[in-house]
Amino acid sequence: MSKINYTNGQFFFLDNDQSEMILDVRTPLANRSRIHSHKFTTEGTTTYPLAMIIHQAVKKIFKATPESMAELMIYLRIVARLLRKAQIHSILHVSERSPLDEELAEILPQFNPANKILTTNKIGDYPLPENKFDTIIYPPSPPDEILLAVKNFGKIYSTASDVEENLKPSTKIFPLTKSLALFETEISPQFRQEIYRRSPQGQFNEKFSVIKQVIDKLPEVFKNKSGLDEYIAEVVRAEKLLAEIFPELQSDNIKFSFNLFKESLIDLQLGNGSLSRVFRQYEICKEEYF
Amino acid sequence: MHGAYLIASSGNPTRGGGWNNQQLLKDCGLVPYLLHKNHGYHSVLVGLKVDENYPYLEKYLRGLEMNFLPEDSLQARLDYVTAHADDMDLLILYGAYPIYIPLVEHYKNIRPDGKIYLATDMNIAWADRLPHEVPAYKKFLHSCDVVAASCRATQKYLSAKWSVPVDLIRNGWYNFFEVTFNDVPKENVILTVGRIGTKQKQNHLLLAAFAKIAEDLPEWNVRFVGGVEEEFKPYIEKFFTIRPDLRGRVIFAGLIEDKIALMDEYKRAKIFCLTSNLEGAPNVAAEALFSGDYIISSAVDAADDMIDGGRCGKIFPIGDVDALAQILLKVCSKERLINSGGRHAATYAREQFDANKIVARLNYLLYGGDAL
Repeated sequence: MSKINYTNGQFFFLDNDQSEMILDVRTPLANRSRIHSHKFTTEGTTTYPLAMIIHQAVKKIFKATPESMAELMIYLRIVARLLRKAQIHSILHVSERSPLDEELAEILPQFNPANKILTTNKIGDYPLPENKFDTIIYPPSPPDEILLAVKNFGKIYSTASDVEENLKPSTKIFPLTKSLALFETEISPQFRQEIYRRSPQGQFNEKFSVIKQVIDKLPEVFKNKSGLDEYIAEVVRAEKLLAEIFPELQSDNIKFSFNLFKESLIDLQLGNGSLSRVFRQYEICKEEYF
Repeated sequence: MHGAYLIASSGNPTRGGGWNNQQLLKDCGLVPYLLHKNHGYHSVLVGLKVDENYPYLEKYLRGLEMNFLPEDSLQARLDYVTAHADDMDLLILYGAYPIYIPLVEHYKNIRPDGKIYLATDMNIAWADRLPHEVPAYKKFLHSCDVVAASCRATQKYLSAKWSVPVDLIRNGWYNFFEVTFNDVPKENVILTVGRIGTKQKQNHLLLAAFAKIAEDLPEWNVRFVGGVEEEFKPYIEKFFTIRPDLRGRVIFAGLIEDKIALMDEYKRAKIFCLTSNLEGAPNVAAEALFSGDYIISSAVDAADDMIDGGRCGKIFPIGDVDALAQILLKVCSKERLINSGGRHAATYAREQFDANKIVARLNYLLYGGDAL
């Protein structure tokens, strides 16, 4: 039995008896399900197939979006390890249409000739070469985007049980039951070191500390009751910096919260806001940043 | 005085490279107009001439200029930018279309000091189609000084996806017609407004849901306001064949071009219902909120914004007739809920959907304290 769980418990997949398997992934993107849960599952969690898990996992490891070729190779090595370990036979690859994803769709089958890859972008308008696939595996609760993709593929399944009925007899959909942390042991210390080397923590911290300083300054600004325009200008600059380092951040909410903080300040300055709203957003930012 | 130029996208399926007279009163005309009226900009709309005449321009948008392109091409737009670059302190773009990439590059080459406002006004599904990781597209986004979404959900989603700050600039409402409020008594009407029968609007859901509960709500009626799509007419006929008893209670009022009469529809209705399966931030929401309607909406991207976290409305899952029917039944039976929700809607609209306030924030985002 092989199960893999990324360190913080947010990445899962499982099999049952070394046969074909299905993935149920709860990523940091689960936060986003609150925004558009209607597009995904009704349970408030977002499910993603393997390629998406790994994509997110690698982002975590690099603390950056993997873009360069060197990073891509490391990325693919991780994919290969995971694929071999899990004996994945079929993959639904949700592409973000990035060059990396394009590359991945081409390379994945090479790791295991038995792999069947269905590549789609999120909304299903990708041209799908039918002869490339003979198996489609879905997450337990197929999101709309996958149903749309399959619509393009020629079949429409409306529920998970429909999907199950239409798959090969050997293909099953498994619910997530438990997980086991193997990811850590899969990556050698040297390999891990190499990965972290590509994301110099110092550089990240330096930029991040600027933003922290700007947030920290708020009480002083209101104590002096002057210079709000200048302070907002500082916040605007910090927000741009934040956007630059954003891919490295661990939370999807930080950038959004900081924008709400800025917005509350502008509205206050324009006479449409309130001081209590400003301080509420300030407290939220502090909680998320420190 | 800042020169603000909104250049229509090329071949935009909804705007056709320009705007018709009716569209001038929506965000594409309203924002440049209020930048001019309230903040002293020299505002110009640039696109193809779609209508023969633009009576609204003179009647309601005094001071806003329109310049017409000779053809719907990138070259025509580039030439326009070259010719007007001196005055073009601000370039406004609606829709995050990749076709804007060369236009923005050209503008920034000529006016590196110029500012760009990109109003995305998109739904999340559309956002997923954009090549946000392609370097040229990233550069385009980074060239924009203000990138805005029109509802919180999309703002949050784009914030997580794009490496630029994303601000909230809602599609607001402006009282062009000097509409007065609280002068029309509310009636037991569930209203929906829009192009009736389009696939996107899913109007059949409201018909089906009302059919389920009509007997339990004998004093309530439904009004569909807007032109009816040809392909939806057989559905309506079939509906009344099956439920002839609802013929007098489900009214298709047709397209109402008189804006004051249209606002009367909102003012009379107690409930506004949106059944769409896909929307960015619909303009009808602001109109309904200003009129004090209790909102019942499908879970489109802007649904949370429309109901202010449930204080003035409820959300049902997209496409779920039973859920809609249950919510309608529950809400219509609670007069107090509708009244308090409607009052909150009116207050909330004036705080959050007032176009004057929205444009003031945009102006501040663009020029900071200097704008005051």
